[in-house]
Amino acid sequence: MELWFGALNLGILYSLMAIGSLLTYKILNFADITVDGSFTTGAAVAAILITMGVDPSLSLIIAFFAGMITGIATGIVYTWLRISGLLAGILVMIGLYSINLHVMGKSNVPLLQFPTVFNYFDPYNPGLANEVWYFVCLSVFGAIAWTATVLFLKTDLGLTLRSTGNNPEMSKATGVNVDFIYILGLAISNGLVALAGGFVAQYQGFADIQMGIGTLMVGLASVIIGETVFKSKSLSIMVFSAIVGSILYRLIIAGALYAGMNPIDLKLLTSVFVLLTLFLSKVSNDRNQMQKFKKNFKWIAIGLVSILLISVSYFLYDSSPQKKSQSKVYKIAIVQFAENGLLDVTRLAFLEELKNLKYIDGENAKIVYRNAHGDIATVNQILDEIESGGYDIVLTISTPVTQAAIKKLTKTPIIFATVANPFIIGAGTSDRDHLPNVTGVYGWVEADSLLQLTKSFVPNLKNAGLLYDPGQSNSVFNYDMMKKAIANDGKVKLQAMTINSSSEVQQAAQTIAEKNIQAFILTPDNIVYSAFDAIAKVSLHKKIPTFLADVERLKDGAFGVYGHDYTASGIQAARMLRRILNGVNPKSIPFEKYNSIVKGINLKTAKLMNIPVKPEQYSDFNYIIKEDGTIIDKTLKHEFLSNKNTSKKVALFMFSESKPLMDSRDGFIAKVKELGLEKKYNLIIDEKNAQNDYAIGQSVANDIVRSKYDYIVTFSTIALQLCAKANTEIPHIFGTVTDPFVAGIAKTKADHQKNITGISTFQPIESTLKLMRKVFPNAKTIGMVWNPAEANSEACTERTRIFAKKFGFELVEANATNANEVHEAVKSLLGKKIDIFFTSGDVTVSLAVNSVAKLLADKNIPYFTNTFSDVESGAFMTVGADYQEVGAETLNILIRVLDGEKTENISIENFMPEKIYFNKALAEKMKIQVSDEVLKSVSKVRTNL
Amino acid sequence: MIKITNLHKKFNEGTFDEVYALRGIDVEIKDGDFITIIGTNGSGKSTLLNAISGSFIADKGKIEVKNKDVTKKPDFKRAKYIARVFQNPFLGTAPGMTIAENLHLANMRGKSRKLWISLDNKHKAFYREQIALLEMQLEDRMNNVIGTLSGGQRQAITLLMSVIQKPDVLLLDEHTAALDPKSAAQLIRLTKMFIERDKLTTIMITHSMQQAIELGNRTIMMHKGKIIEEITIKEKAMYNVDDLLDKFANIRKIEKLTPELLNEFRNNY
Repeated sequence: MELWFGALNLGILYSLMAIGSLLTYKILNFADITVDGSFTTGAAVAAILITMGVDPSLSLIIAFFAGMITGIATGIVYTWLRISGLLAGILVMIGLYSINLHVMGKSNVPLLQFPTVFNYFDPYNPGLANEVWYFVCLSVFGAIAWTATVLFLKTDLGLTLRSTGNNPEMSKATGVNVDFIYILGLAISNGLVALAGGFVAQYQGFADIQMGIGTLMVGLASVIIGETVFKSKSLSIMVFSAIVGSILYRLIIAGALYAGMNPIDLKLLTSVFVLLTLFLSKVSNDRNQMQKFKKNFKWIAIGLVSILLISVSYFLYDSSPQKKSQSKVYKIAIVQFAENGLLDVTRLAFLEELKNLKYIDGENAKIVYRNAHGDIATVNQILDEIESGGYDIVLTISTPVTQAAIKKLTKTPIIFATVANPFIIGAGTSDRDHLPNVTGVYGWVEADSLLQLTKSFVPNLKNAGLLYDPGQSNSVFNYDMMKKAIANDGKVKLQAMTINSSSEVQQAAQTIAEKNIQAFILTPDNIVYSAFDAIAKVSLHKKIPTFLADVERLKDGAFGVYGHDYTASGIQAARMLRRILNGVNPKSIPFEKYNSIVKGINLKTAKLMNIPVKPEQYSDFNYIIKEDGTIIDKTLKHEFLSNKNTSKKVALFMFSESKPLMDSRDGFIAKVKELGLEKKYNLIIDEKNAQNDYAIGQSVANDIVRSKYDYIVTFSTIALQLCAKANTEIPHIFGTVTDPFVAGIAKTKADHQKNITGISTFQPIESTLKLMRKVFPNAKTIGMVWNPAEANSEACTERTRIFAKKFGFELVEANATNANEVHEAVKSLLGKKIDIFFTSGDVTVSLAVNSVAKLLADKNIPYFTNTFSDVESGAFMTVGADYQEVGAETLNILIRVLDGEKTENISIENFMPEKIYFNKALAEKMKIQVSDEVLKSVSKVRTNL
Repeated sequence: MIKITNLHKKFNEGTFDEVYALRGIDVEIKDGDFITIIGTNGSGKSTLLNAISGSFIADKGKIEVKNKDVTKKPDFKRAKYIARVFQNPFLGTAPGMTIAENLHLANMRGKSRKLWISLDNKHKAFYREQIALLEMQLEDRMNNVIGTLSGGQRQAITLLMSVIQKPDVLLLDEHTAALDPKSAAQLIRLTKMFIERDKLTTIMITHSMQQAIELGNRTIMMHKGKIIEEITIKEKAMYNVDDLLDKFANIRKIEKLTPELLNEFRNNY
């Protein structure tokens, strides 16, 4: 129930913003995007004033005036500087981001311990649920806002505003200073939007720098939805419809979440919905279309009703009482802010420990996991859903989620994990004195320890470089701690620099590196850590060691690590959960700090930088990368997560969907099923495909390595190369590769990159050309198209050049770097009078093989390839492997590895069972005679076109 | 009432599109004068009216209204003295607002707009009375939005709006040109009525030679940004349309008019 009232309340609060949008968009005829910034301005001003002790209602009034100033700014840019309205709005909005950040001082201002306007309503609550009582109060407020707006629009000033939007020329002719009116209208509109921002901040309990994003879209959506519901042009109804539109919009979002929609899709839902509304309103205005619509109305209605019925019954089925078991089923919700290494580790450890504690999902527990994908607004919607879902306990992972949850959920027990500092977000004042329903595990990286670690390896440290994002409260907090630690130390100076996005990291790192620093000390920061590769480059190049708090970054080239093992966070949280479910009041469970520290060093980096390190300096470290790259991992995470995890994850990576690769895959998978390997070895096979795109391939490869797969299987040379570069540890088996030696993976069959082995499938070029000579004794010229960017293809072309000479052919080549160019390349060769066309081992060409074959068949030119199945696509004759067999053979190697053989001890063998496939039907059509001798060697014949 | 001295205006100065629209206009308009302006296309008639109303600021010269120098004042400030009706019936009214609201806006011309609802029943009764003068049966449609009315009705309302609060100067820029003949005649009748009733100082641009002779006490003829001829009321009494055209022919003789221009006149009038 509270979910729906929560939505109604948000709708009313946001209706102020909708009215603001109405004033600009409908009345002034001006699409003002300033609101994306001024909404946050209002929230920021109201929140910061409240934390300074200003009365909450006064803070709203000041927020309104602050919003007016932003509107005036846009108005001035628009009227005085004659810059288009949209651009003026964008300029002011962008600028406001910085200003809002300055107003708040950090990216997020919590209001939990402070009074808000909603506290005014509490004493008069006749006993209703909070949200319901707020709804009653806010309805009155909404009615006042409605009346006031309508009355304003009827005043002389209001009339002038309307006439200016309606017809600026006429307004001028009646003595109106039109520029002034635009400025005034924008000021009022943005004032209202800021007021809405101030209200929403107080309602949700914090202001956040991101909260204004998409405001314009929501405002317009509300106006448009309302306009469609009410068709009247009367002023009072127009304003009313904006309010109703805003409420409807929130209800739709709540409904979508209630129905189990993924929060990622909400934005898409908004745009689809607005589009649909616009379309329907257009249809209903057009008589012809309306009649068409009415004719089909029956069907549309039946469709809509059946969709509704299906979703309702699905929901009923879903929420129907579980099969009655004797023990209680606990409903546990996990809310995570974003996909992020630390947060994922926390969650996995939590789930693993739950299993150890005998809370099994589907048996005695129902565990629901929600991820907000980094969006604050989504967090609140998820929490609304949880509030109404009757959960026994909620785990909130990360600071933003915890902050929102402790405001919203006052009854459900909350356990937080991986929160740096629960006290700054108002969860409590000390470990023992905290909110009654909240407890959890926390800890910040002790800046002093990180500094001492740095100094132990860099004794002459005078200047230390640091990067941080001022837009995230965690980052700012961690930076402040380091600033203090360095001030206490007294001998070191900090060269800090702010960044706003990962694209700025590299430049900032380079700039700092020029400031005579001896080390980078990077305090925890999501952006800086995720873009660490860029810093690592600068660090290695300038030989400036980097020290930070995330052990995962050590492999990327960091020098030393002092940080937390967030596995502990998850384990401790799970144990707290058991105590609470066993009946202990969360109030009496003190907050705990993480009890596991990671100290790590990368000796390889030390060697590259020529920094001497003595063994006693790292004797107590639990994560060491040795000079040869091997890793000694004694961390909790390693011991806890990797030993327990019995299932083995295999990444199966194909570079494109070309026939040979897909055949290899099919052969591989078919054999896995046939042998029942998934059960036997507890294998989980994840397929990945780069869709023939290098950039995608690169990120797929990185993703495979980061996701800690146990085994990698690749088909195609490029997939092999991409993974070989990114990964030197995970066992990697490759197949469907022409020449792993040219590809740089191996020097000889036995001497290859240690973690990689597989089978090569060199195209049978010699036998193909020999076959050509047999079938066409008089042919002179062979045409060939290939992609010089493919190592594979180059190797084949090299060989073709050699054997063409041997069998007396002249070879004419053309290049194509993508599938679109293949056609042009083939056509260019057709102009050179070729007798035979040949392609071999080229992925790019193989993507276009159907159309190439057709083009050549039309010109009566026989087409040879080394891909067995190409005859089915229309080639004349192929000599090659059945790639399904290649796939199956690749699996055989994987089985050897699974059974314990080491990749470095398996030599790379060539596997090419030669098979000839002949397109007899095409030969008859082309009137080509093939000798019996050749026909005897053919293993498969195509007889119909 | 209005005194214009040596007024110049160039548009797009220094570009290929440069237009020298006003090339030294000198004219004095006395209280109660009703001046009609005729002239070829591009002769600067509308530009002159726009200069008076303040749509742009002149390059050189001086404009005085009621002995006050308004040369540098923006249009919305001059609106206090000057009311105008455009050729395009869509430009003079706010289509999304009601008749009463439009009249009320016009009645506030030149006054400051307060945060107060002043459109009360007393005002509405007055506007109803005024709209009745148009004899278009609009009295019962005071709360309809203007966008639902015809061009003729809108232009009549625009005219009423311009005189509802007696202006010092009324500028009419071919305000009948976009209407059908019947609506145009009706509008001319209303124009005459309002001007005579309030003894308004008026400047009217027209394309109709007949209107130029029949209406007003002075007629000005413009060509290439200059006033080339003025006909007083005494002369007008003796003239008919042909005489006026002959007059143009005479001008041609003293090489102020080319034969092509004369043809244009014959075709137009």
